[in-house]
Amino acid sequence: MTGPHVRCIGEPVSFLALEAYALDELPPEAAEPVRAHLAACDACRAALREIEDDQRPLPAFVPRAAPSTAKASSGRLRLLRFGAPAVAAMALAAGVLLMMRSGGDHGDHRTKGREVSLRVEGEDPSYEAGTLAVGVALKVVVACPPDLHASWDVVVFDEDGASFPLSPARITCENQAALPGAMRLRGASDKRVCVVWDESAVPSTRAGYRREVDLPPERSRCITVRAVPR
Amino acid sequence: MDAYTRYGRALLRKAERVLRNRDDALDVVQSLFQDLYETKRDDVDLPYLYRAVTNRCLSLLRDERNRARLLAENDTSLVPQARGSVERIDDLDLLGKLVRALDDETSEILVLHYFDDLPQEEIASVVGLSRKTVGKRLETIRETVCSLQGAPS
Ligand SMILES: [Zn+2]
Repeated sequence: MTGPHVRCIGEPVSFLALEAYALDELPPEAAEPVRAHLAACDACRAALREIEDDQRPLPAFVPRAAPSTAKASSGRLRLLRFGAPAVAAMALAAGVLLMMRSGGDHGDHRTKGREVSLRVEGEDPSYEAGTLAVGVALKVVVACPPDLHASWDVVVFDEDGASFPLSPARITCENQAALPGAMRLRGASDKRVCVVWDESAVPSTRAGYRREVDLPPERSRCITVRAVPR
Repeated sequence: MDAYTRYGRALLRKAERVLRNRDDALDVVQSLFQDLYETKRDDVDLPYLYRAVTNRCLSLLRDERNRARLLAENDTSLVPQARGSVERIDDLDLLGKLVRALDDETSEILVLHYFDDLPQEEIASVVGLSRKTVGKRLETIRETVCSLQGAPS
């Protein structure tokens, strides 16, 4: 960009619109206001130039072999379009939200979900299952059916709300599948430790999980861990 | 994958702006296309992919914050290393930096608005707040940007 203190003349053109403009993918009615703004705004023009000048190579994408039983989602992908009339845009938003909440259209996840269980294990051997030794490193271990191919996330609820101690990860399901990473819990209160899994390509945003009731019941399991002094 | 060739750079730039780290950005984009590959999705366009990158980036940033919150103060063994990436300073770039400084909800609103071009009604339904509240948060973001503009960073 041009320098530290070039301000946009108003509301900056979104990065999405700039990228689409650079790719010549904006429909005429959306491109016109962008073109007009760019003509008048040094800051946004500089941002566009930065996009056009980005010569860094795109690393090759080599897909890893997919699990052989992975199923393609039967849910139709809904696409957001530029310049949709407000009503259509709202309808689309509702559709996208639904898609994200439901995590695709997997008719059998209820059956699979019944077979899922979880426990937490201490890396410290003195740790007693089902209790929470404050400060001890804990692993989350799930038992799940082998045909369940999902991204797994851990949510811990206590009086402070929800926390997400581990990075979401795809695991191979079996009787004792440990989620990558460890966590330490703080405070003396009992905690609800939950796993939530998602078979869709784009796991839903965590923002909706504020309390345990927000978790999708057919795609989550929770247990209570009790606080014990170390 | 055609979509990767066509949109990969745009998605990398976006992830890098939000995460301020090229390696993390590469991870986010590659894992997104890996998942698309596994689920055999190819009917994706730029707005969809851009949005999917948002979800993944914000979720990464939340991990970092929550990890830090869950850990004992004196235990830094699991805290992510400080980022050492070189940062350019400019006004639109400020938005990317702000993502890290704001709380989860406000940073999500920022990205959905300034990066993903979502109308306020849609942002409201995605984050589960009223349209009015979203408008107020955007006002706060705007004020923050203005107060940071001109300040040495
Ligand atoms: Zn501008």
